[in-house]
Amino acid sequence: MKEAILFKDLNQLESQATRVSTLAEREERKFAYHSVQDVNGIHEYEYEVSDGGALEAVLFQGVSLEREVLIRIKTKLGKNASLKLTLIQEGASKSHIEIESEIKGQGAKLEIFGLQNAKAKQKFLFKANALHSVPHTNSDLQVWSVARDESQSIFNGLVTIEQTAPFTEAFQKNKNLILSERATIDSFPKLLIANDNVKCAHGSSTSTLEPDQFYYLQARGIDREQAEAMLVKGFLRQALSFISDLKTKNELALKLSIQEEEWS
Amino acid sequence: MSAPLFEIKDLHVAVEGKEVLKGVNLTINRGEVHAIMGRNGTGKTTLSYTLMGHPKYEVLSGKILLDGEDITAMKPEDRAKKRLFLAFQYPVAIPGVSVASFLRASLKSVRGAELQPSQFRALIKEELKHLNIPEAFMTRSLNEGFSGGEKKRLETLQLRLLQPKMAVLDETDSGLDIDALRIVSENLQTYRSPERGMLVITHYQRMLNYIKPDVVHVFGSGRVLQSGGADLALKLEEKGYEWVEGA
Repeated sequence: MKEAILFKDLNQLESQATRVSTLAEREERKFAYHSVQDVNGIHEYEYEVSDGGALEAVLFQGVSLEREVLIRIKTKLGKNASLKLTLIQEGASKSHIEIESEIKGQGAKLEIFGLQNAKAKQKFLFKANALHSVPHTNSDLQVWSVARDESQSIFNGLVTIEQTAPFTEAFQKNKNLILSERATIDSFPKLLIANDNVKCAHGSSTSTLEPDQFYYLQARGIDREQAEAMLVKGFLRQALSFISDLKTKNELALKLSIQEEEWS
Repeated sequence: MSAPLFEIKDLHVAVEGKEVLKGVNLTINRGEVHAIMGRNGTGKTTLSYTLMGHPKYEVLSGKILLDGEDITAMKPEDRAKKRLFLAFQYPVAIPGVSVASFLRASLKSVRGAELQPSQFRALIKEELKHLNIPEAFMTRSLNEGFSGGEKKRLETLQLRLLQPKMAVLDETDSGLDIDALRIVSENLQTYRSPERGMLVITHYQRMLNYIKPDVVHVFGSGRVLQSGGADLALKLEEKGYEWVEGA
């Protein structure tokens, strides 16, 4: 498979660069923000939410362009726990995010939102596995990608619902914007369902920018180049709207150079 | 003698290989408001999109002149800079781009105005007041989730802000309730001046009660079938399009 070829050397990375654990305790509400350390290697993050707790975490990968990083994420959710993860890849020449989630607490809810903002010759992989093994659990996985220049982005999602997990709801969506003829995007949203009493949906769309949006902006005097920049920023800004913490959102807008006109 | 403000000369246009406009002729002088009325599917929107340079509409022959200059092959953004304006029938939504940043970019491109943030806000606030648009709209995504009336008010605001010398209004009255129709029409009426021209495309007489046209054209089968004074619109309302088409 393509990802095996592209990311082969990443799996051979041995240096353990980061190990971060974040825990939301019983009934606790918590927000966490992490920025991936600017070194080559394997970065491990663990997010754990105890019974009834809620954690929202944002992870930003904006390391230098020559870096190669492998980001491994593990999640643990207790009963009625909720975890909302926003994961953004922007830096590195090769970056691979790999999430393993086992949803073992009844009533638990996992939301993952991924954004890959690729340019030049960057290679990004976003791989997410979610396993539902108990009843009444929820997962919602969304990954958006922008591919410019000669970049390559892969989304590989697998949601598995075991026989023991009726009344599960699982959604998976991949939305891509391709801006160059030499850029490539591959999308593999997969569902494995072993119980009939579940609600699931998955989908993937890849498109270029809308001609009618271009025309509207051009009719208002804005040339194509500027119109493209505005539309792409709009796409990225929409992605940030998943983050509830305003300060983090503004900080990321600054990092992605997509700040909005101030109006007050 | 100077050239007319706006001229369409024997314009033939195809959409996806099919000829839709079949020889449109129109001359609008400074200070004049012309109305085009006609049924659905007669090519009115094709005309408005072509005038603003939509790439999907292929000009087979004929010319579009603004101030005597041939703009037929110009890019939409260059037409806008020459102060031609199209108020869209269906303004497109642009998620993630706020109304404020869009207006600022547009204003800068068209009028070359590099305004201080405070000047920009003052200018916009004034226009918002005229059109009865809440200021909260400025931070919303452009046209996203806007009602028909809200979109049309925003189109009208853009017209007033960009100050075109020639404005084409494509069914600006559709989707408006009575109050919104009055507000939009009054703002368009006060925009009229001896130097500017307007082409109002509509199905109904109602907007023309506010913006009294100098000339009314009846459109059918991709061209102008008949032209007359403001009373032609009233006659159409009374007798229907068959009266012209059958003549």
